[in-house]
Amino acid sequence: MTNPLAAIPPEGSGEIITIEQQETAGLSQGAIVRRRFFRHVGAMVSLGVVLLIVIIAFSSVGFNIFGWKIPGWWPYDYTNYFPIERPGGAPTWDLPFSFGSHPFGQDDIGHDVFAQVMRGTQQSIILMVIYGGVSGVIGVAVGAVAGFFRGRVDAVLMRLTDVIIIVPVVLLGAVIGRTYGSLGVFVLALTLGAFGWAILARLVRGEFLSLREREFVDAARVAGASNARIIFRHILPNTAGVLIVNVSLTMSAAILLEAALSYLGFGINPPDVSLGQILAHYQSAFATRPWLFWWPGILLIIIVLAINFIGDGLRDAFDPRQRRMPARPGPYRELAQIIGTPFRRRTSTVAADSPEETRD
Amino acid sequence: MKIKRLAAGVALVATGALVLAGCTPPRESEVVEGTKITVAMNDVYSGYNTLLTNLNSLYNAQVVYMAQDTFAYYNDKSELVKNTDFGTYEKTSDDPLTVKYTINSGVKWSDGTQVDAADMLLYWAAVTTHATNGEATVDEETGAVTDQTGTVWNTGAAEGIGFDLVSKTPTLSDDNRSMTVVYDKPYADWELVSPIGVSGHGTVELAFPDKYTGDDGAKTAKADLIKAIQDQDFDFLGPVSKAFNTGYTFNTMPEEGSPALLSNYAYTITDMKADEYVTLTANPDYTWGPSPKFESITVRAVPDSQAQLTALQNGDIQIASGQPTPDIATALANGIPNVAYEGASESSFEHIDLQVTNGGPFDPATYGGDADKALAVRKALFMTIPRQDIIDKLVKPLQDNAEVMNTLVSFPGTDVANEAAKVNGYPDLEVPDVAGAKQVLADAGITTPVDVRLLFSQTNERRNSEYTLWAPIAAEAGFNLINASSTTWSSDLDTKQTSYDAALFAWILNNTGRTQNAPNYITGGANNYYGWSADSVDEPFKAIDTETDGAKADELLVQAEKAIGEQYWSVPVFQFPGITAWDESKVSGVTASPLTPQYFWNFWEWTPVAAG
Amino acid sequence: MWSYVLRRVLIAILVIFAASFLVYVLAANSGDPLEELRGSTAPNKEALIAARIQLLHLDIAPPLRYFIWLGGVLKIFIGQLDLGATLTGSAVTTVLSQSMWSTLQLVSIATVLAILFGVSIGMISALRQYSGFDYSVTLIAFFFFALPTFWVGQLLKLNIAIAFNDFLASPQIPPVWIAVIALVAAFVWASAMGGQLKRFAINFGLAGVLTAGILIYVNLTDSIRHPNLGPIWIGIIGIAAAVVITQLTTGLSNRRALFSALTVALLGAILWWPVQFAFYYLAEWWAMFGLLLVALAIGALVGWLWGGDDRGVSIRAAMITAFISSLLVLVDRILGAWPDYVSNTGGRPISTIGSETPGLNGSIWLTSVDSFAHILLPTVTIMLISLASYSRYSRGSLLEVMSMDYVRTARAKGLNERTVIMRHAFRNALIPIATIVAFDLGGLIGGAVITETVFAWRGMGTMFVQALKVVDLNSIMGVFLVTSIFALLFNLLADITYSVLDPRIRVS
Repeated sequence: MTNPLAAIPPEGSGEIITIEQQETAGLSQGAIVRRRFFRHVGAMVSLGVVLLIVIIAFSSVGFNIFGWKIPGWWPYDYTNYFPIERPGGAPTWDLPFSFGSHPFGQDDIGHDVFAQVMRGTQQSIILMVIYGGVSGVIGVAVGAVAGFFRGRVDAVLMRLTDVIIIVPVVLLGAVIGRTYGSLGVFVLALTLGAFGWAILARLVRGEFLSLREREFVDAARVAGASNARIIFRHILPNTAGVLIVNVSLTMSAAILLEAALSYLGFGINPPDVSLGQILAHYQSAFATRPWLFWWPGILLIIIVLAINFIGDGLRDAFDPRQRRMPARPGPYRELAQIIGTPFRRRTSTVAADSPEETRD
Repeated sequence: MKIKRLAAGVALVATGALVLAGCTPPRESEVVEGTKITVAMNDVYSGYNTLLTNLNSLYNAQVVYMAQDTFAYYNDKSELVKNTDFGTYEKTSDDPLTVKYTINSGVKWSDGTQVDAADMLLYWAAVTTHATNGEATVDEETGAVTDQTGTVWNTGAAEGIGFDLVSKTPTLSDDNRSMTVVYDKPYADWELVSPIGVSGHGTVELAFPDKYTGDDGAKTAKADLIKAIQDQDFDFLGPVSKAFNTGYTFNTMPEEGSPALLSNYAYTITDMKADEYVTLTANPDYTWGPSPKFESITVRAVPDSQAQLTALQNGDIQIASGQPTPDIATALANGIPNVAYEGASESSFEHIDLQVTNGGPFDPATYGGDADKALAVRKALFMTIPRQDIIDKLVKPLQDNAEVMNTLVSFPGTDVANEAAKVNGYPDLEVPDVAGAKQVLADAGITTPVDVRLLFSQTNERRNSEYTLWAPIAAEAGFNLINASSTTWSSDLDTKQTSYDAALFAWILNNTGRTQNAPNYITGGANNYYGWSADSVDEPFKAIDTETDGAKADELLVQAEKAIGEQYWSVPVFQFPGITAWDESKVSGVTASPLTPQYFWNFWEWTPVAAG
Repeated sequence: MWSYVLRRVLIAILVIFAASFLVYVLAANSGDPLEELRGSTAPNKEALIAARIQLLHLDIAPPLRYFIWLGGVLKIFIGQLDLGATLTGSAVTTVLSQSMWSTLQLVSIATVLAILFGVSIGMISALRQYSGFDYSVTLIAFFFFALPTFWVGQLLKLNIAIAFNDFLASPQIPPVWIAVIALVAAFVWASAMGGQLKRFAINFGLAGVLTAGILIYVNLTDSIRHPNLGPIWIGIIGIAAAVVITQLTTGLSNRRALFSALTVALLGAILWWPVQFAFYYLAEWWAMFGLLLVALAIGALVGWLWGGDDRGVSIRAAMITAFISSLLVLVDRILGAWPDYVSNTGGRPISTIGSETPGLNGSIWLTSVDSFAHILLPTVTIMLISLASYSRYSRGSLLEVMSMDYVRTARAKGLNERTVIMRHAFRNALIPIATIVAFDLGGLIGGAVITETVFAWRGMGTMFVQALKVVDLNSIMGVFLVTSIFALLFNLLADITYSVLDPRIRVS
């Protein structure tokens, strides 16, 4: 868990440290958001974890890009099988540092679980990114056009949105997975994403409806800006908060959607793997061969958790109204002050760092 | 409501007592009062008349097995056991093939009516095409025949196949307990016909609800039915067939005492909730066979095998069965308190078939019509299949007594299967022989690598694993085994012959019949998607069709199998693994069995274990 | 208003047509409905395949076949809705009418609970922003959100059902567990109540001791085998509820409201005895409903008598208390059936499969316990999915509202914190949540698909999954039709709720 203390300045330290207080100092909106986001310890840690996972997953077993095969540093690949080294395929990882040849273990026929889990992570991440991208682009386009032009265009687009929104996503996903699951992760993610934009479109439309009435839009129009310019340069940047937060949550939901589809048998098809698919396949290995279930399980949870925390950090960062209210210290801080030194030293470190941060 | 049920119960018990007092009780009931058991099935029960095409599922058969008696059943060794407690059948003539069925005296429907020739005659009328008029128009909206004109039986009867060869109306004995059927031409699987299904008078009563109400209503109904079938009275049979098609498709409880619930065996359906469970209660009138021990049996639908195991562990069910995962098998092997288990193969088997007329590597046309060359390629490919390894890695973890399957046309474990394995050459193909395969290819002068596209179900994990195990070994021998798996593999088999060279999938065997395999292998057979054609195969199959002597037919089967083996068309891999597990602290006497009705086969031996 | 609803419904029907066409074509292309027949070796295989093709019109291209299906649906206007046949030949309408209710039951209970718990947790964590409580709740909520549904279901089966049933063999809570539970409860309560170290410590101690005390009492009286509340506990809990309700609605300073609520709580304890006769002679649900109405009327009367000038407030507090007391009395009666139920299920009451124990014919109390024992785990599973998002959204929503100018104005006026939160902030914070609930229903039904599969619950979810596996188009469309109608209905309800919660929005 993140340490709540690290983010809260000690009472009465007298330093100028809350970013809100600097708004008057003439920081741009982007700078404020960036600063706030960097301050969100949970989000920062999560960002680091996600980057690490992405790097390991893609570098270890390599990947194909437009037919170019980029090899990885891991000696085994996820499709082939190898002689089973330990009974039942148990991991060869002896704590702490003797990894052996199959540290994550092997499955029934000798696949290397590390290679499979890494490939699965790749696939899940690709699915997540494409799904988020496709649904984000369509959602923004539909929402922006509907909210900006209103009237008949709006009515037609919103009814179209209704058509998509009333179909429970797992039902639609299952039908799509049953049809396109065999064509690989790209096609699956594209088709799923093509039906995953409805809620975002509604949110963006709502933002546009209220923003287009604002003075700065009138000003731009009077200045002779085209509709496209108003949409892209004036209104869209102001919806970034809603957009980014929602897309990040949609992305984490996409991983879980794929896991659910795999459980039902409509997800990514073998021989390719995804985290959800490995997990669903080995759900009964829970107790008997824990390495088959827990590695993908833990990774899946970490990724979803991290994406959610990042989304949470972004929400806090983008919301101009939401300020930190560190007025009253809670019982733990009080307790910490009573107990004394270790905690106090830590908080004072934060305080000492802060002025440096304000300099750049 | 409750009072009505109670009254009905009292009436039922009273009638039972009267009947018991009236006849000489052949066996004492061993039903232990108040005992109940809940067992699991993989899918839902959907209807009582399993002769209908839309209700002909394993799951309906399992439930109905306990409520409708038959002339013979399969035991756990896949042997057909004559059920002489119910009735007898004998072949009285070979030419023309004539069989006489007799039902024992005292075998009664649960309303007290004797089970007799009227019921058997209804079976004949329903499963043949000879008591049908007009066209078989299936009502398009409901699937079952609801809005039919004329007499149509929705049993999928096909002209000239099986029991349909009995084209003359069977003759009945004077006491109405026997029926004699005469086949137009000999039929090898005549023993598998058990001409008894739902009740004749019950179906008539369903068709004419208000007509047969009096004391001898059932008797009149039987007489009318027999007469109508003998006279081909379609005005009468029309409504009867309609009742036959729709009256038994209930999945919620019909009214108390409805003819649709009539049972002539150990249990009667007494309660059900659609798609969830069906409860059968011991039939107090049942005295003619081995007595069951449980007073009531509830069959619940639990599709997921992991859920079944958890439910077994939690005491929600007492018997579970199905295809396990390796981990469920391991969990069972490691021991779960009070849970015992037994492995028994299921009746489906995995096999690999090769296309010989698609211009691919196994088609003589590819080698300028050189059949020997094509044969050599087929042989070499089969020599690379790691069959033993597939069993060891993919099947044994699920069922520790699993073996490589070495017969295509007979049921594994039977004598004829063992004979066939001696001559068909499959035992020699258990372990891959890469050097041998290379040699065969070289001798035939084939340039490697040979591309082979293997079609299988893309979503089937096990088949993917089989491919993974096979491909590298095939590659060593010079075959480039291409993964041509597809989600539409089943229709591709038939419609896209040029898209694959070899196919990996399973056939389902429902019985030990000798005639059922011919369509897979004879020239132009319905399931022969591969253009296979050889006189050495066609001839024995043709002969089997009309061979009514079991031993001779078996010889022909072995001959056919040998011929198929020599062609290297197809190779069996394994029978689907299955496991039956039960709660030892609640029930004993459970035995797994491969054929329908699987572990239900000896339900009368299930014995409650006294709580202690 | 009505013309608005009518217009929405008409548009909704058009939307459903469009969506159903989309799903129909997609589903029709997803596989081969003849797959299982093709693997068969039946001698009359050709005939079977031909029959199925004819039955399901497989010879007609999907976009055209859709209109055959649509024709059946449109027959609803002449009173004979026809959704076609399943692959096994039963009418889809029959199958649906059975599976529909079990799914809706599951989903609606889970939704209500998720909203109740989610919104309260979210609001408390908003009020205690950046406290230990806030961080713990955030982490736990995210964690459950990140767990795949089938995993949660499996965990619950192993760790709740089997473990609890095993525990029932000798139901004494071990001292270690008492300590752990008491500590956790103490932490949750003390953090939720907030305050400085001293108050925190007092709350912590009180909650811990109280929890431990209750658990020890349960052990001593063997309450797990023979649970019952009795008039004494009904009285005690009722009084506690009366105090809390008064505090939340009007504040304890309103003595008349407090006394109204307390009177009702006491009446509940006293009336426990005569009501037992009603339970015996009138064991039907309509009678229970009648008794509830009577209880509410008594509450209203008490509030009116105590009320004085501000009658409405007292009546409200008294009626809510009456409702809670009635529930307690009812729960007490249902608990009475517990020992009987445990012996009926062979000592293993919590079930992992299905929605009822087969062949259990008993009083409504016994069947209530039975339903509870079956619905518990699936409901919790579904609830956990949406709990996370509801708590996050309501936290954010309340935080946003709390920084609004009118809240600042209310504070500036000198109103106490309770009034500011309950009167000004709470209601406004609920508005955006109404939308989320409507959107989320689709997700819940999706969750139900998984949950039903895990718990062998024969609802629309299982029906859909089975149907999709064999490409049983008519069943797929049947499930789709029902779920989409409900999704649209909830969207409509959300819009109407809007206008109730927010007077600025007018639907016309």
